[in-house]
Amino acid sequence: MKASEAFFNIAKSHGVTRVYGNPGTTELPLLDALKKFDIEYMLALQDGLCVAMAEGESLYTRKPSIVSLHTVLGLGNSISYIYTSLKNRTPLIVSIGQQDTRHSFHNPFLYAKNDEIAKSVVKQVFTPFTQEDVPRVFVKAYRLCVTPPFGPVAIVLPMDYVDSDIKLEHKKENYSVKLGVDEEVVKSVAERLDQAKNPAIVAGYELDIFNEHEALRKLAEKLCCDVYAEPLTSRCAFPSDHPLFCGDLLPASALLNMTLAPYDFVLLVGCSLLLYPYTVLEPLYKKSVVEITYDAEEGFSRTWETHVCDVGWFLSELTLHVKKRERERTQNLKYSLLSKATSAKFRMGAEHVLYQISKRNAGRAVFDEAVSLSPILRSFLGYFPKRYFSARSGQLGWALPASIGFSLAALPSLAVIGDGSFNYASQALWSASKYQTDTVFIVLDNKGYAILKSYARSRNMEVTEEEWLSPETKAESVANAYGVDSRVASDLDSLESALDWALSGKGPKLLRIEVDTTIPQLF
Amino acid sequence: MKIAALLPAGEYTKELELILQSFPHEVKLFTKLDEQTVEHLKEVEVLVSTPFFPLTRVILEKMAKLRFVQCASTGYDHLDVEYLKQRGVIVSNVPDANKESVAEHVIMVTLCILRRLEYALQSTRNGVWVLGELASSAHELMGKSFGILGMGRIGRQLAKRLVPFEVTTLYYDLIRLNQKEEEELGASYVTLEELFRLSDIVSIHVPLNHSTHSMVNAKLLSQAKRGLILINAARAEIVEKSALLEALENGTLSAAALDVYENEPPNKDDPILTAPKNSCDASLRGSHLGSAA
Repeated sequence: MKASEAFFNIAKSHGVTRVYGNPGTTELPLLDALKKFDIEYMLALQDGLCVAMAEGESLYTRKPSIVSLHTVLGLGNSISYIYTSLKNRTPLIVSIGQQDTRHSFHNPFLYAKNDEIAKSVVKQVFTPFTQEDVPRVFVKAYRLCVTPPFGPVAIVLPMDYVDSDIKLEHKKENYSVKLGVDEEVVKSVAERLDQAKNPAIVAGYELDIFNEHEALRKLAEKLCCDVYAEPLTSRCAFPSDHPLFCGDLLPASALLNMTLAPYDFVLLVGCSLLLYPYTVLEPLYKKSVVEITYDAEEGFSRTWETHVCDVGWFLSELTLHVKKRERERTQNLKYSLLSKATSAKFRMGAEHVLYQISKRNAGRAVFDEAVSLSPILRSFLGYFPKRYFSARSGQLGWALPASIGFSLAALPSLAVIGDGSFNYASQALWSASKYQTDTVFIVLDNKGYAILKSYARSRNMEVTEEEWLSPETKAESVANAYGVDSRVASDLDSLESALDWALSGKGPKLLRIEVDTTIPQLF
Repeated sequence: MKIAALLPAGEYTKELELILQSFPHEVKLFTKLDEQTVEHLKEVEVLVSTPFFPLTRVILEKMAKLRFVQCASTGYDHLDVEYLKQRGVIVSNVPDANKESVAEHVIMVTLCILRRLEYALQSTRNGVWVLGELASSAHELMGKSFGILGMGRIGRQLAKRLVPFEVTTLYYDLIRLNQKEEEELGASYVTLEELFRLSDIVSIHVPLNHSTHSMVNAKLLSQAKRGLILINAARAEIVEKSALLEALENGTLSAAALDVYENEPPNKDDPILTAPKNSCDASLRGSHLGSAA
């Protein structure tokens, strides 16, 4: 058996049904074996887009998917996408082609130290020592991907290795990792929660990765305490329609401290406090804080009390130990949305547009890359388990291809992106058209990089009117070129019918909406 | 046909008399309700009536020829409507009479309370400079939850005017608006209890009848958000007076703006006039020429 066949044989036994990529000569010996294993090759027109599409699939399946990159050039094009999957803690096997080892000494064309280049954006890079290692590195990579914290693992596959005949056969064996819970720690945290007059919970993306929403809901309801989402959460931290949900913390330590000031005990659950911009205060300074996380890197990066554990198990144990509290709720965020939408209607504000989208979005998973409008998007479209995703890295050009991969895996998706974001990844529309994914792309066009204008204005910079902050493009024309149906809504009269068109029936479809261009105050 | 109009005296009185003289019927304008007026009313078939002159059953019984009463107001609780109905007298009101005035009035008193205008003016006139104190105790309307109890014509006008203030508008009514109406007004439907629990300000706009009498009572106020501002420009009897006084005393209400009283004008010794944090005014909510029917 060829090493390439052994590679896909073991991959298939691990549940792999697709490989995402944009091929080059160094990968063809590997890909030549695909057809024997009924594994589909999903083509994207740029290497990075393949990574995001593969990540999109993993976001749904919670299992590693595979992307095949064309040696250093494909890897180079994909670095920011791989970095996003690392920050998102998404399991992903990044297969990187490599020159024939038999002439590597001569630094041939397309040869580079791919392992050195990749290592800073993945958990680890594995390179086979011999041809026999080709299927084994898959197993190693797969297992490391699903060892908390999840993330991408790279394997570098020289073209002569994968084209070699090998003798050893491998089959899938079980692999499991189960973190524990320290009973004494649980009791100690429960005691402090019970003593607290006004505790709060800050929930994060790990709850969605590990599907532990139910465990957190039970604890929060027993404590009857306020629950916030971590700043810039990339996934559903807590269902936003729950009456205990109080919204998102802001990603600046001063604002975060201010929001949490009324609480005498803060339980951080499966989160990581992302901060930007810098503000002078130390986050949670002298606050009574306990953090529980699956993520050892998160755990050792903090100075407050932190426990790396099975978060779901910890929450369940904690719920058994804490006393039940009663409290009258005096706020419910959902009611403010309609008033905000009405206020924004006649200026074609994002609040009104997103309200209209929310009315029509029946179950599509939302991929958010509206950047300057993201806070509004999050409040109107809400957080629901496995239904909200964004790039934790801050990357532009991720949501569009990731939503396509998500739809390929199973579910309809809705990418709501800014006009700036659209131009980073528009080629992905070709894949949506080719594979007829049930994806709707809504481009909220505020005519430029509003987030940069907002930052510049907050710092009294004079660049807000510069042309290089306002590139204008017609996304609908690009979509048509790639074979995706498209429309434009430029005013209130056309908005509702355009949304009816976009959000009824199946995708792919693209709708560009011209929204209010007022620079938002975000910093 | 003899017609009488019973209206309070005002700048418009002379002009109105001239207009009434041009009518093909005998029309007489009265600006007070005394024995002489009642004597004249005995012969009247058509009456134009206002809440400023409540007509008791005793008076109505004397008006044996009465066939039609036109209320120059939205409210008609100053008449014994049941009795008139039994007699077959037609009673008509003007539902749209003062909706804009009341809506504006409510926003005015809300802003006055939130900005502590009365205190600021008094202090300044007395030579006491309270700018620092006001900086920390005066509030914006923006971002507040504004509850509207009763989403009739006035409630809707109020909701419409609240849109640019960027508040969260909540409402309760026996009949829920349709989705399009709610979207136009930016108003979310909640239960009566939720209205008091979630709102920073509640303004009352329900008519007075058997089901709304004492609707805002001790039980409901006990569920209110602490520090609620209560505005009543509807009818005094909708709010249980003792519960109101207690809520002002114990801090459940941070302020009450009352534009209506059980007896108008209220007695000088009415405890409502001396209650803490109460903002009383004469009945101004619907009284200007633009809203007169």
